[in-house]
Amino acid sequence: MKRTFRQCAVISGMIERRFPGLRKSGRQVTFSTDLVYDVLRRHEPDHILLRAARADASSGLLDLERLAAMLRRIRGRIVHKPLDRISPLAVPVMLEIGREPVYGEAQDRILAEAAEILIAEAGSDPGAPT
Amino acid sequence: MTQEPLHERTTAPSARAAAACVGVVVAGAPLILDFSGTLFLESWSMLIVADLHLEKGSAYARRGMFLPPWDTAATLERLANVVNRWRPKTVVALGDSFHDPLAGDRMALADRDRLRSLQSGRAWIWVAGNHDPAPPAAIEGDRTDEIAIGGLRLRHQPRAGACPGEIAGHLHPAARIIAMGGSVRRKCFVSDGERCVMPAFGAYAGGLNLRDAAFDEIFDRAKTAHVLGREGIYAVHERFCAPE
Repeated sequence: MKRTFRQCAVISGMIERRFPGLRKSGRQVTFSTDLVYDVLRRHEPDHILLRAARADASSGLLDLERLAAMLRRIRGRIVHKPLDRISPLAVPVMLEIGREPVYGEAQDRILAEAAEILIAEAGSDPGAPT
Repeated sequence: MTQEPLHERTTAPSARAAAACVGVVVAGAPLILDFSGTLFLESWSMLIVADLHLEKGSAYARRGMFLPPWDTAATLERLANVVNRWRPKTVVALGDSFHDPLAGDRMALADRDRLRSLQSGRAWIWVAGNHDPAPPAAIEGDRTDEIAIGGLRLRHQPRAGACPGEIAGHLHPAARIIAMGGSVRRKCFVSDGERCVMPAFGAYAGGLNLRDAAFDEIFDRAKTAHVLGREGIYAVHERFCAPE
């Protein structure tokens, strides 16, 4: 949803598009549409950009109807074959691993995982900086 | 993938309830880091909050970037929740509390009232920041450049070189953590046990990745990020924090 909102915010002209290769200057911190999204959700949930984002998200991220049609079409004809290397068509998906931002509930699970490692290694108080 | 399958250990972390705050020691002084991004000094009943950046939204709007103007209300609402939870005798706003010198004039009446009611019954200290060398005239509270308390130094901008006991803001630290096939970017405290940089509290205050060179100038020991989750605070070694 935040990703869709970012696109809406750029298209509406509320924020400028970030061009790849254009480095942010100095230490100035990123201004992110995620922050705007959180504030709007709480203080103006019916904002036109939120409505646009919701409308886009319902079909943009995953077109459920098309997916359903495809699953119906290939039903009973799925061939499962473990490969010893990555198939060419899987490359884009493999490149996305670890790059997609995770939002919502799963965020804390990821943080807890990373924190567990520190606790396991230190074998002591997780709060104590080492 | 040869990466360790983190996601297969699903029971352990979720079984452990996330802690809303964690006690740490910085230069011998005990601090409580709260998952709201505030820091509490129990012995002095002092709550510290950094980089509120009030009226950042309206500052951008004046320059033609029309961000929704609710950031001050959102920031003060979150601050009120923390203040009601800790009930501190003193609140220290560690600089860049106001986004610019005219922020006080643009603050909505309701927000000014909300701030005033937060301030009532307790001491309130505005530490000077680069955005707000002086707080707006109409705003109540004491002002100072820095505070020395119990071996700690509270100031807005961290100084280069060794500075044991320094609690600062300014850098807006954020950590990016990659696991379970995805990445999370959240604001965080950064500390090496000698000094601490606090996360920016403001609703529109962004975050600077703690792997940025700006942090190398002030930390020469290994850093721990105390990452602000949705439900609690998580200590993550910098080794597990990815660059942008």
